[in-house]
Amino acid sequence: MIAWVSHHAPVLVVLLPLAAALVIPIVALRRPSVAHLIATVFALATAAVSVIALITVVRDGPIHYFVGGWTAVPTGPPSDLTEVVFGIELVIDRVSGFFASVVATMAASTLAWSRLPVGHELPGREGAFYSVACLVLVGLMGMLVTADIFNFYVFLEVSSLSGYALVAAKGGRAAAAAFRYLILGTVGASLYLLGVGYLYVSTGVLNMGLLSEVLHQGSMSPVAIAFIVIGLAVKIGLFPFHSWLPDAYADSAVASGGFLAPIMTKVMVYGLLRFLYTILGDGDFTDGDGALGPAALGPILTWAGAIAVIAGSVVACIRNDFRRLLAWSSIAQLGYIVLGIGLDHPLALAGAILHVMNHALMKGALFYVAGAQLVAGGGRSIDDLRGLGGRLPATTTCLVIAGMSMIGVPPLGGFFSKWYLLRGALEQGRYGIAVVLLVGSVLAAIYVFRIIERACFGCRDDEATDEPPSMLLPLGLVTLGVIAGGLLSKTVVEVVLWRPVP
Amino acid sequence: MTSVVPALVLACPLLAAIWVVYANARPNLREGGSITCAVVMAGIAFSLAVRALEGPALEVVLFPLIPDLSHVTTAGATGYAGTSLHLRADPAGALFAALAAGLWALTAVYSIGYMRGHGEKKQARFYFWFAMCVFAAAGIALSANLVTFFIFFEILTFSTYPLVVHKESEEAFAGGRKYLAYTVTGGVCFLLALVWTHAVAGTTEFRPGGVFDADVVASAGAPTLWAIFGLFIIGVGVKSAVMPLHSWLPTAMVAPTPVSALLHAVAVVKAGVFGVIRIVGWVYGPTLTTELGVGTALAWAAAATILLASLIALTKDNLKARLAYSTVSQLSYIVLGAALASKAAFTGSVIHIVNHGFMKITLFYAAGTLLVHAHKTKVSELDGIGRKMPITMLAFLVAALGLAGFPPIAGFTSKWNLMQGAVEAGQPLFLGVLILSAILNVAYLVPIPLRAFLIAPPAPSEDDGHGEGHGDGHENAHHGEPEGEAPFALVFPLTVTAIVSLVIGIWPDLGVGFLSLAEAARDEVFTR
Repeated sequence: MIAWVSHHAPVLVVLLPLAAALVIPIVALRRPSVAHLIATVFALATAAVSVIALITVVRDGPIHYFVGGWTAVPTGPPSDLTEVVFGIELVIDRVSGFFASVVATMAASTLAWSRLPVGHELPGREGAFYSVACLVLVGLMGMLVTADIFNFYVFLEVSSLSGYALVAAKGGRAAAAAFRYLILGTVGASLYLLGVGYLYVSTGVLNMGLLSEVLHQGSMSPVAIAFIVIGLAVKIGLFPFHSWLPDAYADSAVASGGFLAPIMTKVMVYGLLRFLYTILGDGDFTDGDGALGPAALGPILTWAGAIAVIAGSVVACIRNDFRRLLAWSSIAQLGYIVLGIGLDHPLALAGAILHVMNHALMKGALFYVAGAQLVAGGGRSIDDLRGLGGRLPATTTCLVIAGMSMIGVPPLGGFFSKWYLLRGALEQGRYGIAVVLLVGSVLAAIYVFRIIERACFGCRDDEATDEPPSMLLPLGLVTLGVIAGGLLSKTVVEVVLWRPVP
Repeated sequence: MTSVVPALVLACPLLAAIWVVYANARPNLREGGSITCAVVMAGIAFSLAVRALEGPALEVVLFPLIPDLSHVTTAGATGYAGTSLHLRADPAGALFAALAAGLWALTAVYSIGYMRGHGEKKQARFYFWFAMCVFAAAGIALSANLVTFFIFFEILTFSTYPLVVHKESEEAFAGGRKYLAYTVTGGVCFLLALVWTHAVAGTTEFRPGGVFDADVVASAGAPTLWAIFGLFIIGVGVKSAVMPLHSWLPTAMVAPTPVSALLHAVAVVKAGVFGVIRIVGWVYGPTLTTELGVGTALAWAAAATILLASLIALTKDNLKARLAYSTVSQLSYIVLGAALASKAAFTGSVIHIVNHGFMKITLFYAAGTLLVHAHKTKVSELDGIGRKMPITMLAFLVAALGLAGFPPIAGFTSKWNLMQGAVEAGQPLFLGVLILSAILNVAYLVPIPLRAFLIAPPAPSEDDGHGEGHGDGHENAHHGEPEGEAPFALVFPLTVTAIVSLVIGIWPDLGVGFLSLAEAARDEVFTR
């Protein structure tokens, strides 16, 4: 059974959420609790398969899967451009297995959590919400497992189009935010597609491994690289291509924002990582020499990330809307990740990948808090959080822990991502970047304590209200994840990134 | 030698914190648990201190934090050594842990008297974070490497914040923000220094005599080592309130008095100076500190702080503010001793952690007692109060004389060693600084108990309305003048600490053997 699951894992992680997305409209469009149950169960199954796949990968090496048995590898030499192969290869290796586990777990957790907030904000449209959310997950998992750059584009559009729908679901301002997201997201996706087309014309292959071999034999087209990197940067929400992000996360329903914020941009980061390291670089994540590909890209990405860290954090410090503050904090935290990728050092890369997990967990937890505040009837400004500790004590505890991790307080997850990023920056002699990382921490302390100062003090013990377990349990588990993300970071770094394959 | 005992010391305050949450609704049970945990912790910490003198240090590795990546073959990469959550009760650590535990036990008793007498709100939150602070301080004491140290250092930073803003007034929040601005900035500077040390020296262990070997020093170069030292000192210097990083401390005085006592005598500021000692003795080593010249620079900063803070203390009429500046000044004695990096100065520095701890906490206990029992916060209001509260003011007098360095009270031992150390280090100028500071100490502290005993109390409250503010007159009328000495829970701890200050001045090795521990720490550092 386990062997069967891990053998078919690359296709299962796509098919499971797809099945849910199709089943929900058929059997549960008007039955919210059934729709919620189906979505949660299938997302949990996806997460379980991802974790099994990751364990298998760590033990036995990457899982290759050829969809429909069609080969994706030509029989002749890769430089022979006359032979055309149509097959699509799916691969789960350490990195994609790790991303898939994080993304599917967070998706499952958010779906489990979302019953009350969805009922609160989108009454009567629960079935549609869960169906579309599962479709987003289909796209995201597909992007993570595919080894084909055009197939990646297809899944990117699947996740993006359903993502726009998810954002728009609430109507009103959310529709405007979704429209903006749609325009910019389509521009990003189109740029990516242009780059892919460019590469296909010049090489004749779409499979990532083959493309890498071909590109390393000939010259790499800077235009194609620029198209793809900028296209992905737009989808990541990298400053200054971020302008769709705050509205999309803050004006949409809290369940939509909470579903998308922790995972969507992370998968785009994965795309960037794959493109830079597997296709353009030498594919070896651990030896630290030229793994990134073209040398000029490193400094550009590093500084872009650094600017995002500062700009995102500064704006987060002056935002008064809780979710908008979280969205700007996301822009800053994505800056950390891109910065780590750009540093082109195994330790910095470990920090970036670790931060993908840590940020998904802590941003998820903070959005859950925003949702709990909304369901409990509170407003959306951070001033409305005043006395939250009296009303929702357990929720507030989780808020504090997630916030502390955002600052980078040891021994929580955020500290360890920062440790590796700093270590990588120093190893590369990039002292300016090290300072940016620290300034980012101080700014994070400012915006986190603007929340904590209001939420934790001025509370009255006698006004504690019910904290619904269906929301508190996922929040508690994700918060435990924030703590575990710190304490187990050693294992993650060692196993996922470094332990040699037997 | 592996032993779980160092971890037990940390478990006690953690247990107390959990107990506070559990027994929240029953104050007597809640505080009973705190005191029990504190007494048990003190017992374990004292036995650890005794043990630290006898044989190899007890240590325990709790949890791996950073993996060993030395098999990663990057050209020229050093310092991929792993690191763990590692506790070790070496002499210096055992000394600080024993001090923290002992004073926590007394402060636990004192805070019951204070918090209830003062009718403070949110007492459960107070006791919870109080226990967390002690947990962090003990963790700092027993850390065997910089990463473990930093983890507890940051826990301390953020556990103190709820105590500083305890009153939830605008003033308290402003004090809290200032506190965070300083300590978080200090924290990130420390983090950079820590990561940098890991990158340069390849280890984060505290090693007696320093981690930077001769070849590391040669390859890293003096500017890098200067930068790392500077960042370390900014990090720990914020907490030890070395000027110009001190100004959060007087602002943080809005906290309840037991917190001020804890901040000033045990946890926060002592964690800072203990950090300075660890950096000089166990990361850089006295030899490198002297060779690089970083020690001299730090010593001058400390000397300036000693004198300036004493002068500012002279101008303060608010008792707690005066004590705060006295703390700023006294802490720099410890920093100065470490910076001089000579044998006697190092001993004096380590032992002053203990001596200042006992004396300053006595002063703060007394200040808190005056506030709760007599409703006095200003030095100018204390005329004649010694006739009503003789024990409190006598304890104050003992501690004040001790801080000025009068034999046979505790402060004399430290000052003697520091002076000897200044001569040993070939920097006799600091001798003058120490003497001048002793005079200033007498000038700003000793008059307080003297006027309390010698000047007649002001005439009864009919005249009071003219001289004092209307608010004070009203308060006095409301509460009434104090009837005799304060309650037992307030007077007992300050009596004990005053007696201890006297006893360890005369027999420095009685009981825990603080002086022997300080000397053992010195020998450890200077034998390499």
